[in-house]
Amino acid sequence: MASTTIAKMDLDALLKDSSKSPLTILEYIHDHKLHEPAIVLKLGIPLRKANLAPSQLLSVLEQIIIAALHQKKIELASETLTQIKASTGANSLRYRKLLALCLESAGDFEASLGIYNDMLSDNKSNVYALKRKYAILRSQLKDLEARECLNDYLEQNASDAPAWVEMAKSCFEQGDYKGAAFCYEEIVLSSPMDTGVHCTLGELYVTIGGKDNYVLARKHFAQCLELEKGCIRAMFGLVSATESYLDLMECQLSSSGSGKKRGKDSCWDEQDVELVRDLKAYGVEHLIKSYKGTNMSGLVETILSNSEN
Amino acid sequence: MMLHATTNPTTQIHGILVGTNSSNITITDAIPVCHTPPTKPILDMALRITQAFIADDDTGSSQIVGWYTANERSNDDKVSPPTWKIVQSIDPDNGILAIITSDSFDSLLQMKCDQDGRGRGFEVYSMQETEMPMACSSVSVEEGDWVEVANSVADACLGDGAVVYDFENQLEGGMKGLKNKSVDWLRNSHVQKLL
Repeated sequence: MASTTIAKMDLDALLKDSSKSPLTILEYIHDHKLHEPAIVLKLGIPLRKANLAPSQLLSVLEQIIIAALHQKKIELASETLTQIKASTGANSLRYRKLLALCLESAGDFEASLGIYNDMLSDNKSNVYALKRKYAILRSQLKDLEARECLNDYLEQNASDAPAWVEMAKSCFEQGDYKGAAFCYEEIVLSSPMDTGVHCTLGELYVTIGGKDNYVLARKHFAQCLELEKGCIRAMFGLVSATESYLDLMECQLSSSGSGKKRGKDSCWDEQDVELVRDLKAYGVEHLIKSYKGTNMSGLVETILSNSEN
Repeated sequence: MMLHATTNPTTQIHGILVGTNSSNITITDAIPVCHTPPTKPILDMALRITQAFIADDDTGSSQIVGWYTANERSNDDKVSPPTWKIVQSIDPDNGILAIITSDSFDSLLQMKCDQDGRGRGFEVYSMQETEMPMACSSVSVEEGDWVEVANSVADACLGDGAVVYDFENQLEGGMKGLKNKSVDWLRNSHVQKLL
């Protein structure tokens, strides 16, 4: 974000500098991936008929099309696309990508999907086509097909963390918490110091439920608190995970009916249960301390004190 | 509810409906909980805090009566399976669900709500009727009429500074955020001034 701000400030300086040509400014916008459709159109349209080198002209035309689509100027995009087609031919990959984008803007998703499917049949690893196809299917609420498409993408690009976040979102919507947890396990591999990821993973394991998952959950909340001591969300999560563990234990022990206590014959290890009680007490103490002096202090103390009983 | 949706226009939102349940269910408050998919710890804590909050209420007759939500994508007005589970856990017999629907919300913001409540911004489902939303005639406003209420809500949503804080906002703020009295997701008292 900081680099984008600096790039934008430099762009302002470039625009004020009359010695800089429109082409230089357009190249700057392209190289720094700035979103300035109005400026691109203002500077680019006069260059359509300019005497530029073929590769430079094609770059400018491409920028104009993208900017026109952002500004909902479909006709301008269409005219510029025709100019590109005359230069590169209809079979050029670059032309087909732009055509598909224009069709998407015009709402003709079937035609654009057809183009992306053609691209994928030529090259299954076409990342651009896979991403656009996924975006279209998701916007059309075709969740099953979108998920299959995203799955294909992830099989080839397993290190793409944002794609795993997208898959996790899809799993969440369907109530597939195990699937979402799988996705977040992939994400935590690439972002092990991200407290948000650990927190989400912990919450997912509590939601899925079960003794082993409660143990995993508290590990992630503990890691989150290790990285950020004041993380309120992780404190709440820790209390929730430990409470769920103890409730499950009480439920299983009382339903076994034999009065079998924790010990060698039980699956509930005495030391682990004591650790869980300590963790819960830690979470409760720190939450009450954190909320002290706020207008929710009384409420939080009430609910956490009740949970201790 | 609508302010929660306009504050978080690109994500799903969830919140608690508070009210009374005598012969009819009357909703008196909507408490925003989160703007990401709800998980058990967040849900559990939000419900417990809300329960303690309404227990402090003078009249003592308020209770948690249901849940509200809005999906992330426009034209996605289907109630997701996790949302149904939440409503079932709140009240398996009489729980109600309000879901903000795209076309209706659009009508509300364009101030096209009619006297019958069409274009009010949301649909209501009950645990007895999970397939189809409740008929417009079954859902009414206590004070004023639908047009008046919808238009004042639209004004509030489109006005400057119209934001609503949820439980998740408070958690995201960390310990410093807790001291910030304006992030009061239970009361959001500045909303009163907008209406």
